[in-house]
Amino acid sequence: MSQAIDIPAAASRNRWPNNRTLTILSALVGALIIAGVVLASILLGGFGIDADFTTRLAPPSLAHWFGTDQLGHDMMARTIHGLNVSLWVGLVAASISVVIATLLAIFAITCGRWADALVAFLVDAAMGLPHLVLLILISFALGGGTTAVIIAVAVTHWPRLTRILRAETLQLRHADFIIASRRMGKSWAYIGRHHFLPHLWPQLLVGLVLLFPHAILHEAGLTFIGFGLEPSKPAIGVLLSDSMRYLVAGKWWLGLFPGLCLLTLVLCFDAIGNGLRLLADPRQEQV
Amino acid sequence: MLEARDIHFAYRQQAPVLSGVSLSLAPSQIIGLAGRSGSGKSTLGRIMAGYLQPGRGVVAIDGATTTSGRSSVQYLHQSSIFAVDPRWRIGRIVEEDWQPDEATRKALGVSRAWYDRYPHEISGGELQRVTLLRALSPQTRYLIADEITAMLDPITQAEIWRFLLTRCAVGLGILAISHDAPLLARIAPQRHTLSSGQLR
Repeated sequence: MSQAIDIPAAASRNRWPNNRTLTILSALVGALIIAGVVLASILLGGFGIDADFTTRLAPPSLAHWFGTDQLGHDMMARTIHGLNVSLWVGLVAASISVVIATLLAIFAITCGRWADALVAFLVDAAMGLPHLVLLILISFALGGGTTAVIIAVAVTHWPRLTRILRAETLQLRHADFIIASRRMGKSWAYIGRHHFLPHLWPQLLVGLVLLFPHAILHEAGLTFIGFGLEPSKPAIGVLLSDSMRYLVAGKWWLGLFPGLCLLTLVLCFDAIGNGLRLLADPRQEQV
Repeated sequence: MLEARDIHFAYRQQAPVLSGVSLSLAPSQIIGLAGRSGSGKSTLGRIMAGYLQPGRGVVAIDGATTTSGRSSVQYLHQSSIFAVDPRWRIGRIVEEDWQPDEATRKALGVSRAWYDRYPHEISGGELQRVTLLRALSPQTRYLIADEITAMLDPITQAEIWRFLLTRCAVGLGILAISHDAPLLARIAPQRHTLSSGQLR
């Protein structure tokens, strides 16, 4: 006896926008927002830095979209300046972390088993320590300020990327296509440039981009608890820390807008990181 | 002459895969190597191609055991997807070692239309032909063909072996590894079976 079976229609392979298109679009939007923050900060110049006591603690209005703080500063201008400061601190700290991770991964791969064991131990030890405590200790020991925050964030964010790079390189080193290349007489320099680098640069780039939001959040966190940037700097952490004193008085805009902007910035970097990961891997083209 | 002398091999602390295997492959010779799955056929092939180091014994080419520089022994993988860089396009893979002439390319049925694609964008059989074309540079004197036509249809299988036999006639030594006994009977006058780590 035959029985009819409902076979669901196959999903079209050419549906638009697909996951890949959406991810790349969100990455582009993220990049535009970040570029907008940098540009706006340059265009604003000193606007929002000077106090204006005639407009103290004004709620959001057409004249001041994000309201004003206890000294009459325009909160939107201060938030933009704060995001810009966070961006630069994040960029420098994340870049230093990537350099440390790359150097350690190269050291582990090229200097024999003892070097590999040493790097593996360092990674495990660094990942075993409480992140925030280490950040506070380093920043405190260095006396606080921008340089201290950058160093603290940079020297605490390399372990994860080092582990990824080391694992990827070890796997590549024993891959059949690398051995095939060696048997074709190619030098390690050639293999490094033509085989290793194309595999590793997406990891490096994505690692750098994904370190950004971490670095920015930690910078804001350190500043918020008083171990970070100088209170005179319009950093997001400073704005959030200041807002705490006025939240109970109903001045919600002092914390809400800088917090939302920080969240948006972090999500933008996350979107860019995911977009880059898709673009860099040809196997993901059909996703 | 490609010689494997008294080869012993075991993966880590496990039971030995090869126990005192010796095999010689001369130019223009085809040797068939059969055996059950897991008998160590591919391991012997990889050792002879320099992909693995034996625990004991030596592999020599014309009496020399040097391993640096361009090897005259090329190994063709049964899973060709592992033998190519997944981030390289086919054109670059084909020309990594040499610039294949049109006659060889056409004889192996490698289309230029594939050159812009990535390995995962062509079939397993097509990729096998690509790796074969890459391996057949003029410097290649010995070919370790490890189940190279297992994924191909019978017609393409016959075309490829016909082409390899013509190369064999002009000097290429081939170690044909397969568990397809009828295929080995057709192409290899001399055949060995690997069992319990030894050649029979």
